[in-house]
Amino acid sequence: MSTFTQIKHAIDRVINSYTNDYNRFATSKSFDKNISVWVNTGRDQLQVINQLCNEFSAEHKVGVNLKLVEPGTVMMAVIAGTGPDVNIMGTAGEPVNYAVRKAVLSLNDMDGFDEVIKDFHPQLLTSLTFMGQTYALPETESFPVMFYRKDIFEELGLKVPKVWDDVDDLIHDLQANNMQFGPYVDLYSILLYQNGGAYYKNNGKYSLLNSLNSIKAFNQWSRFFVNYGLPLEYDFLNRFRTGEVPIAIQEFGMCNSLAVFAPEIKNDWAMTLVPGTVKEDGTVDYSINCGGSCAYIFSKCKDNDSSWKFLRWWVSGRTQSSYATQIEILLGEHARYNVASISAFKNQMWNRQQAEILSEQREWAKGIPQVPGSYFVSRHLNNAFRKVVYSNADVRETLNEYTEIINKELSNKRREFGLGEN
Amino acid sequence: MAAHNILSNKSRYARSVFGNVMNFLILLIVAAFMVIPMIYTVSNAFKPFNELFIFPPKLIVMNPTFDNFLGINSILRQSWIPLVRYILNSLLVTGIGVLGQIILASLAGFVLSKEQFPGRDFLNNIVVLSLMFSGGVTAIPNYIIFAKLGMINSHLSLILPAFCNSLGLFLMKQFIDQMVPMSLLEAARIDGAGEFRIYFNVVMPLCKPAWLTLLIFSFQSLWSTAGGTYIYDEQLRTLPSALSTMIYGGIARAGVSAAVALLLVLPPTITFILSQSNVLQTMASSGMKE
Amino acid sequence: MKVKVFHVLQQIQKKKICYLFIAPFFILFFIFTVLPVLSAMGLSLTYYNVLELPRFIGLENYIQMFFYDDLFIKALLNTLTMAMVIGPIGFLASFILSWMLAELNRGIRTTLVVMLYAPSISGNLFLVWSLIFHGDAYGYLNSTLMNMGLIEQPIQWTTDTRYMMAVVILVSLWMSLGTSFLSFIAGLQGVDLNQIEAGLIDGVRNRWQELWYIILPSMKPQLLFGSVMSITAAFSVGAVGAALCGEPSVDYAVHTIINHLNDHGITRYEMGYACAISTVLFFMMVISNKLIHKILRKVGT
Repeated sequence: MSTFTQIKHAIDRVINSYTNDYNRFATSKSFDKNISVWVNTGRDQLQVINQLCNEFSAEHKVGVNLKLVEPGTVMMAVIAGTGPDVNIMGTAGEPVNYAVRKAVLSLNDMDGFDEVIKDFHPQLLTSLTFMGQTYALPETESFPVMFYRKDIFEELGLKVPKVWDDVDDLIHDLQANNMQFGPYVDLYSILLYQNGGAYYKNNGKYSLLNSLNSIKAFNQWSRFFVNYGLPLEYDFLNRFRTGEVPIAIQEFGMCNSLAVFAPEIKNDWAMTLVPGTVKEDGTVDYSINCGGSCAYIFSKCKDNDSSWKFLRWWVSGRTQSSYATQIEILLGEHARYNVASISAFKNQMWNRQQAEILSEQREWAKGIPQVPGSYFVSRHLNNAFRKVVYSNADVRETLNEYTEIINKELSNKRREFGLGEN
Repeated sequence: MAAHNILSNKSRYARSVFGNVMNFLILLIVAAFMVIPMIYTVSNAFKPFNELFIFPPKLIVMNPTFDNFLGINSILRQSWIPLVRYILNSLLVTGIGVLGQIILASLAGFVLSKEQFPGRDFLNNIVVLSLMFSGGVTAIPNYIIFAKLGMINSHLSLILPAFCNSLGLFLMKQFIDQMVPMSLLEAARIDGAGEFRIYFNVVMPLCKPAWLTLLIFSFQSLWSTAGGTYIYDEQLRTLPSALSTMIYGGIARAGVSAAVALLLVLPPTITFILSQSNVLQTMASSGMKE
Repeated sequence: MKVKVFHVLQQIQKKKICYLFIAPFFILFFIFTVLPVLSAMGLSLTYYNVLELPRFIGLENYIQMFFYDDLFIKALLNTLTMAMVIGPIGFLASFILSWMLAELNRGIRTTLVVMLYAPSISGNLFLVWSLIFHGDAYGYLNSTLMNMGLIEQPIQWTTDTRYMMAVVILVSLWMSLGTSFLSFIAGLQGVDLNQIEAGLIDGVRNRWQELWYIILPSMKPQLLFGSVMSITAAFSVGAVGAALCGEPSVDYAVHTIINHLNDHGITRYEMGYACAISTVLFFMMVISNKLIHKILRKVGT
């Protein structure tokens, strides 16, 4: 194209941007039914979602008004009445918090709900459900696995630990070689669930932070730092690559980053299950906590049916698979979108060994419930941890102290929402 | 101005050479430290992907590349809104906003400074007080007001609040207080000039440093306003808003994010460097009398 | 009484055009600045969980705040501690820096001013500080100290309650070299030459005397302005703590009133309470401003 044509083309595009009605992305047909969908994500992702929405509109005859927004905007818009019908790629804390304030729809009675949730591991719905009602559907999943450097382990003749008792020995050996075992940021949840514990009693009425299982898990967790000197903070990517931390527990998504950040060790590392806890009957429990992003519908939406149709279509294996594939082609392996949908997962380009481990670890996933006042639990769990690790405080006493504080807040919140106090 | 001389007039009394040198060195060290974030931003923008995640991060890039900027270009090319449109949006918002702010602030500043009328002190106090209420909680009432006035998803949400910026009013008023003598105004009135004439032909020319400063400050601030909380329509987005949406693309776009960060920081910094002397002169009159 | 009202009305009539001049600004100002503030104050008398309509509860929020909220007291103490250190020291540091800069010649001064002030524009200072105080063994400060053999294990600067306050104060001081500093430089340039010469004749012998007797008094207006900005900034401290240590910080060690406000408003969806905190904060700022002005009036005497 000559320069003149190029310039003319550019000017045309600018003029078009003033005259086009971008609220109708699909063909010139306008639809009787329209829903507005908001998302907080990057530009590239937006383009892909946009294309997919056009397909949806064509297939289901419902117009989709897609908008990119910044985090925090959604809530304000809902207040002012200018909010969307559907929000996708939201964080797991949102649906339940909005639901108790009656801002989000319950999905249990929606058409085909039972079918839809079959495609997800049931535990992924835990943090999206409260008092038996599910308020959102999962999009992505994340849970920890263990990464280790095959070459280093071979060289030093070390064994990959299967249970926590093995880990203690391993740490000795590693430290003798000036290396470290890389702990997971939320090791507490793993240990808690492996010991058969839970976060709450009675649907969020009481915190079980000072229960026996919790104390056991907490002890085990803090011991790593107080007695074994595991690093409280470490940069996994860099240290794993240099071999300083040849074994670590991290979100499985890290493997995508590793592939791009440290391609030279591509064949030298592997994923495996997180160390388990031996139960009384001799079997091993490999439980881990899980999370991910979600999509939900606001109560103020004008068209429940169309909104549900969209939500259902969006989280379905077919759509998620399409989205994930396109994103990976567009941005590369490290941008891999970790789908929650099991059918979509099967379509992803994991190598066989990785896919096996992930499927197996996922079997053991346990979701953490969201209840009114949840924010207090993570906060004070952290406070308790710091107190014990930095000032050598007594575990039982500290946990008792913070549990009381947490329970008070849980009670306040329950009263606020008429759920019956403690 | 004679004032400049006192600062370079070294012959007042013995200022020890040692004192001067120490003075300079201390300042240099402090300044060098302050510039580190800038160097870091510039450096980051040119880092290839694998250098971005090295921890601890290196201050100077080892293998500089333009890839990140090319990345911005390719993302924008795919967008259904051309880059020029974003720039036009920013220009529109900034142009109208700056113009309006200067006019409104000087009109009000002039009268508040030189005229006596009922309610004047009250208004003066409100403006000072308004500088003190912390922003967090007013976000929601603000949003609702905008919504009720139909300003959401419109450029007005950025322009109108800029018109009533209290810092601007403050600057204009203080400058007029000190630099425009009453005698001049009285002479103009005796000559039969109406208020508007006085404002336009007498006050504004005298206040040039003030509204130049205001121009620079408000340009800086408006140009870097993303307004992402109020504007969602793609075709209405300002340049910073469009650029910053690239940052949400996750680690795949980390390089591009670094380049974007640099681009967003450049205009305000350059405007400041170029306009330094004017700014300083206005700030000289920014004190409070009482 | 009636005569007074009539007098006022007469004045308004005479000065009609003034109102015309101020109208555009103040109408917008009222809608976009005053109205939200008044709404926030009004919301402070309600229970408002953001997603449902507000419900009037009178002074309950304030009662809760002053009598039952231990965290508010802690936040208040933290804020006062930080404000009293950062406010005066920051103010002083800004002033001293500008005084030092005034001693240099034009070219060098301009360059240094740019170097000193530019980072406040880019707003990126957090990043560098968080790298310095990173809890990782490779964080700048930790690795330096470990290499020098002073410590064995990396110190968790931002999560260990023993260090957090000091870290936040240090970083805040650094970042406060902002606008007041510009105002001071300008003020120093505006000092009247004649006064300096008169001072010389009267027997001023060194730069310190010059400072106290001549320069400071002539800069009083700038000092007052700087103090308003400093106080506002000092009470609004919170962003630094949140960026470095998380919001809320471990055991609320650097929890300021602003953090407390955000915690209730955003995390706990208790916007009515947050508005009440905001209103109280506002009045505290107004009162301290009045106090500082009284003190500054005495400068140079």
